[in-house]
Amino acid sequence: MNHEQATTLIETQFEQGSLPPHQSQALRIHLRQCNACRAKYDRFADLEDLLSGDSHAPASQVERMIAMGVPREARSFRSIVRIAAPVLAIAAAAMIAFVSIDGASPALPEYQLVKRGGAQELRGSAEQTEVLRLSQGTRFELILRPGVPAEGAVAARAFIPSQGGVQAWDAKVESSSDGALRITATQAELPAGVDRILIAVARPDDLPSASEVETKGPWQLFEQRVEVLP
Amino acid sequence: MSRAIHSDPANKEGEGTLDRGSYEDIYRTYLPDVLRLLRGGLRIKSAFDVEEICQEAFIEFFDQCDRGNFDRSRPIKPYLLRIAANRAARKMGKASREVLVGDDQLPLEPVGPPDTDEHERARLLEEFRGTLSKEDNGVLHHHFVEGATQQKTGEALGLSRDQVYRAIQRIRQLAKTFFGERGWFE
Repeated sequence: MNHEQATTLIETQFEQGSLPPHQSQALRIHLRQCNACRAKYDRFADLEDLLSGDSHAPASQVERMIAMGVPREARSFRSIVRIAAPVLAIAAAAMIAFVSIDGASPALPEYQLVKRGGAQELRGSAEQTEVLRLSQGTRFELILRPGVPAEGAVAARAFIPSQGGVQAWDAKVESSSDGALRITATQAELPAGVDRILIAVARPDDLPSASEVETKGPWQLFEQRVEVLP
Repeated sequence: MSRAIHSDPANKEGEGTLDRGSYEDIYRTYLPDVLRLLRGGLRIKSAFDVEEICQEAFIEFFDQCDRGNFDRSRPIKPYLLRIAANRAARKMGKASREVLVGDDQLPLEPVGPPDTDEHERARLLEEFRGTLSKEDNGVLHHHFVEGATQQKTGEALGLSRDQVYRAIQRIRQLAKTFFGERGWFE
């Protein structure tokens, strides 16, 4: 990690309240060796303290340290780092985009939405479209895959936009140990007239309600266009 | 008289290695105490040093638990604070050792005179607060100072969680600019 990358992480930590554990530990490795960046880190922490009322155990620092993870894992990380520091430094730099948008929780990695099933695929067509085409009774899966395994609990909630506003859709959501999420349903379970499905991915406590889902918040939002075939 | 604190997370498992949940419980429970000792009692200025010592202290404590060196019928706090104080003394040198006292009487509040720049800091903060809207000042108080969650802050101020979230982002950005313009980061 160079000064520029460290500075970006320091500023991101201040702006977001905390960093995901892997970024936090990668930054600390740099700070142990770099006085200039450590001074910058301390100035931002000092400003955080000032905003938090200058107590001796400010909520901001407690929160930041909890976000770093339990020190036991930090120790394991340090022993790995001795062997793989250059690789981790590159990984940390590449993952700046994955920072938390809610200071209270480690950031989720970026998710990707993948559809499976639908009329065309069942017919064996090679054509791939962004629209999920469903004939009567067709079964389909919407899979949300994290770019890297997600730490901690992750959840998804589905919504159906209509002319009267967005409605929550009570779809069955399954999750895997690495944070992947899968919604499995059939065409018959969708409301009549549906033309798109919205899916919000977030920490369980951060999932939006129907009225919030299309605003900005601590969730990743995906849209799947749907066409129901006659 | 028994000194056991049966609600101590370290006592959950009896003998043997603690599980991950117990480590986390201990960390969350005693982290504020260790921070108060290092920042308030020992007056370590650098946030980075405080965090490093804090992490090392917990690692050492967990090692002691795993090796059976910590008698789990005893309370955790004084033992952990003693480890933290020793770590601080080693890292910071003689200045820290001078304020150490008996095992159960580690100073959690400041020793010595207050910082000379306290008034200047308070003045700057007041000036910054003066630039914030009433809503942002409310969020600053509830979320930053009181440590309330976004949900609780919203409930206290009659705001949605999304509004609180945006206010927090706004306050951080404004603070970075305001204090940056006044040479805070130089």
